Amino acid sequence: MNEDRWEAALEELLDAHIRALPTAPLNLDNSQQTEAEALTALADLLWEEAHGAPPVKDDPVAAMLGLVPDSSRALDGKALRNALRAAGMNVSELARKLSDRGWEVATRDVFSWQARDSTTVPPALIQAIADVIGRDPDRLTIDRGQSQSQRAFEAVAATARFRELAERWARLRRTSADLAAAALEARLAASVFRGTRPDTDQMLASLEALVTALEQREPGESHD
Amino acid sequence: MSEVPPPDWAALYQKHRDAMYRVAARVLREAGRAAEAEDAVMAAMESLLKSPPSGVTCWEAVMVNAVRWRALDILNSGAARHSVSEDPASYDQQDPMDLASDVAELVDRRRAAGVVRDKLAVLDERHRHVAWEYIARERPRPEVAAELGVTPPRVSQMAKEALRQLHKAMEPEGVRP
Repeated sequence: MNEDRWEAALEELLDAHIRALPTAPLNLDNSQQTEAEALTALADLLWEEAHGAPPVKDDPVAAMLGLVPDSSRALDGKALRNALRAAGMNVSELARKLSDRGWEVATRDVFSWQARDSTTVPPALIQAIADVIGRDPDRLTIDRGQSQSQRAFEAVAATARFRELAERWARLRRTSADLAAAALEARLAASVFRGTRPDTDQMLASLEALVTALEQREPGESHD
Repeated sequence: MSEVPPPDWAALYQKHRDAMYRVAARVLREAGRAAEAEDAVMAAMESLLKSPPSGVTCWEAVMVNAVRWRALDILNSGAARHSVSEDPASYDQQDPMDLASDVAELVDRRRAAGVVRDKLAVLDERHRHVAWEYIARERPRPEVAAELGVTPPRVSQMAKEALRQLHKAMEPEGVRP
């Protein structure tokens, strides 16, 4: 197959592969066959990258297992500190025992939980903390209720535009959709709780500007 | 590999859910049913919770294997069901060498997929858009073309160019897709 015909045939072949359409057998030489196989395999890897787990909040199994943080109930930092003291346990011991149970928790995480009330710790992890310390989980949490800011924040996080921004962020930061959504939610939370009157469109526009600015700094630049 | 006590299911799921979704989607993709990956993951977890396997040395292998069988069940629904699917405890009774090989393959693919994700940065914005929206997310070609203000055949050309650039960028990493 000559060069021009090969370029057109390769496009057709890749299109068919991407769209899972049948293809007629092609008469390819070795190098063409090798390239076709390499590029279709690469297309499969890209496809797999887009078909991992959804964000935790959109995952019904995660919800069932208590992995979706409940913004209305926070892990009470002061109660945790007191409970650890009463149990005669230090922060690194708690981190180690949680790690033994399969949780990816470092000592610095426990320090952070003690320093401030945390709404990002999922109920299942609060339960594990309570089990390790030997406390009722209700005694380790505090009711944060639903403020106007929190409602606005959750409304933004539930939009399709937010999800699209999270996907762009995931590609930029080379991370999972889940972690990307969490990172953007943290930025949203920072702006919402700064005391300004929350506005859905403004918050989304602000996130869009952030993501676009970072995209324009690509390729190959770290954004940390 | 020494036996470890069963950790929290929530912790296990948090750690391995991405692998479970990927495996389910991959199995179901050939039948154009990748969107049912969530059903396979849900069914696998329900089975594992109902009858937790014992003597587990590698939970990732067990969970990935469980979801693979459930995805196959979905493909075979209406036809004869695979007997293993009715016995979740047997998920870990597969030949340990096979399980180890499955996990090794999974790890290799995840590594390769991670490199592809990294290398998307070598593409310009428009080719990256085509790579992600058309190739990875399988969005309809006319939609992607309209977003870029080009013709659908041009999207196909850009997809080929993007894959070639990615392939070239991956060569120094020694990663074969």
